[in-house]
Amino acid sequence: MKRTLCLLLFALASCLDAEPTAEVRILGEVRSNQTGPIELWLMHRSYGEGILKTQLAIIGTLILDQPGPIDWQILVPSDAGEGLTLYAWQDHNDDGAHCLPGTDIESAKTLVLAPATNFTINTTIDLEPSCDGPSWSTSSTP
Amino acid sequence: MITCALLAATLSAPQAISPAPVSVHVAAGFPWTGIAVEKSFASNFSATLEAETALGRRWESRLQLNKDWPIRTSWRLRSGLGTGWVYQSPSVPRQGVQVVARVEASYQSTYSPFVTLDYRYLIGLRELAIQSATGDRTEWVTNPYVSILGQVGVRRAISSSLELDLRMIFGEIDEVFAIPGALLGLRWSQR
Repeated sequence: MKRTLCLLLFALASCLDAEPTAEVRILGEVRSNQTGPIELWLMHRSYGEGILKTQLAIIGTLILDQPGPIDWQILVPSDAGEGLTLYAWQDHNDDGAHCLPGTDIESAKTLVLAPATNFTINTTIDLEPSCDGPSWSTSSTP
Repeated sequence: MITCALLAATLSAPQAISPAPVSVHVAAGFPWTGIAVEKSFASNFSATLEAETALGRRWESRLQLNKDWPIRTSWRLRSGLGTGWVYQSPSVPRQGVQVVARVEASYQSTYSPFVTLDYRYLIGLRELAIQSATGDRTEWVTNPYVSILGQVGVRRAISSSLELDLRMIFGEIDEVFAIPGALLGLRWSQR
């Protein structure tokens, strides 16, 4: 019985393959004529397969204290997901939410990123007054 | 003083059912199916080796040490602490070492109701093969996940060595709401 139990334990302790990722550096600038912190979301445009396929899967987020330069190094899964989209929204009134009901319109923008060149993506994102969330259909590129 | 006396009498009350030296429990249902082998030791201690799967996509195995706390003649409280391995694939790949704390209360009667609470802490292990401008490298990263699962059920002995149980299981797996499940189990105890 001991032998059977040991075999069972080892059989369950299998390991997953290493996840291929790319260390990408996003350089550029976020511009806005308003003040307030900015939250950036880097997303795959599409992720998964078959019925589990979804649009705009978040890879990571970054918060900037104010509009200005971006220098963001992030690990991007290489084998799961296609295309990269960057969404940014600005918290003008510092309430921690984007366009909370009863508050003024804040700023946002969705940008489709060009493929990385030598693991670097250069981009400039100009925020516009908008209460929209990330848009899959956007076609704007830097 | 009366409370203390009652408590002392309660804790020193004889145990209703003596534990079997070895028992095997198999359960099947949705989404969980599993098997557990239990070996009893002296002083109400026991060790359990468990393996379970959710639809063949998430696999968990663990070795757990249990302590029974008889309360009165019919109530039993069981605490357990264990550790094991979790493997999940393919849609949400996950693997790692899991630590489990379990508390179970049961009432011994013809139909014995029980309630179990599990706190499972998974140290998720991911191996990353990273391509970068400075070259390729491999890194291991850890991500913690907490699962809290409750079980409510009832047991019924059908012979001196066999017992059936029916249970509902509900809670969160890796901090995400899990669809409640139901299991039908059979325990064989060495007598």
